[in-house]
Amino acid sequence: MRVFHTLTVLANVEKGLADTEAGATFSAPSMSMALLTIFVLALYVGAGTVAKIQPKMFTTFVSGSNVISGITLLGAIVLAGRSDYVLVRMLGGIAVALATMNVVGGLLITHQALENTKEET
Amino acid sequence: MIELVELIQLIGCVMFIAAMRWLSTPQFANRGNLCSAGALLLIVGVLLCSGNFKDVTWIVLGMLGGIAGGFWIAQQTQSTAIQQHVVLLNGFGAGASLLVAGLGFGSSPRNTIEVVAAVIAGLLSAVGLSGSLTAFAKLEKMPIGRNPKFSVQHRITGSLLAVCLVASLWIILHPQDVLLYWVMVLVALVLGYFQLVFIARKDMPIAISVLNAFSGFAASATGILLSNTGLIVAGALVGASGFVLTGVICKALNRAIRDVLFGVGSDHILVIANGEDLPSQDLPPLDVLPLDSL
Repeated sequence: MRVFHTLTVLANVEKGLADTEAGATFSAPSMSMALLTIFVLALYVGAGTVAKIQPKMFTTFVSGSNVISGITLLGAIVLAGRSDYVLVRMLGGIAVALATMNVVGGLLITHQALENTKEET
Repeated sequence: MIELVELIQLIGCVMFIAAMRWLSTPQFANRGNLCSAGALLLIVGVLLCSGNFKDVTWIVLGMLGGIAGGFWIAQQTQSTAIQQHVVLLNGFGAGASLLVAGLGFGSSPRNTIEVVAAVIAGLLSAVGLSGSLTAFAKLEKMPIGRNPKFSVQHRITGSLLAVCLVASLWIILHPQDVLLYWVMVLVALVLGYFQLVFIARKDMPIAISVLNAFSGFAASATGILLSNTGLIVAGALVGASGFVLTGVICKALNRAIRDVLFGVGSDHILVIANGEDLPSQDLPPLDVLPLDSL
């Protein structure tokens, strides 16, 4: 009887394990929901970066974060390089120029701004 | 190769977070600036190397023009005039976002979330573009328009905003209507001008932070439209930090954001009538008071 009981238990355990293998899981998130999740979490991180900012760093930070918003350059490059229509690629080229100006000019101006904060001390 | 591009974007975003933290401190701000430069270089470089591009001529021309333009603008910037050039560059970024979002929207069928994202991106980048250029012009003391009375302002910006919202609802329901999208963008451009032209020059630092946040959120919405995580995260970082920073600056300058947006100014002469201040609606229009102390 004992042997029979043990065998039954073992069989049930095996069945339980097989159930987990056979798909007792969540279904994968849709792309849009995953992206929205990332977006929301990134908002909190972004809000936290200015937690301890002092007034004299305001201009530097605004300029610096302006540079990061030049990430739009990625979209512009794809537009300028991968679109099927010449006109769209040309407009993409304009977008690339604008975004690159944003980045390059912004980096230099941010540097100038932070130099200013050093002079004040 | 596709996965490498996305991995590098993740690394780049982590670098952006570190860079922004450093940029808020005096002693590490330089490090932060270099870090964001490195992150952008890395992300863009890997994208350029990996890409299956039909045609690189416009990319190359654009980048060369952009680098030259960026250097030129930075040359023109004096230490006392940093913020107007920051907002000018912000406007350029918003313009780029507008093109990317608008042309990306028209190109292929999108699901509802992507259409909503495209509409948000279009509105925010259009307002950001015209608003930034207006702010630049105001700070450079260009004669771009006098400040009319408050009651007119509410009507103008309110009605423009209502048109934009109605149009965006229609577009979400009828995503094939690309023409209406660009009409809405046009209306939003006008809205951006009118909103910024009312803001006092003294309040421009706050407006600049708001515009910065707008272009950040526009980039993020474009990222949701194009399913690009780098755009989404970086845009959210910039947008959220700009949003919070606007509140911080308002508190530091002791101004309420509502007052800033509607041009109610501390640069009005306090009108004392019978020993009391008049309520804001009764204050004389801004063009009567030539107080621009910046």
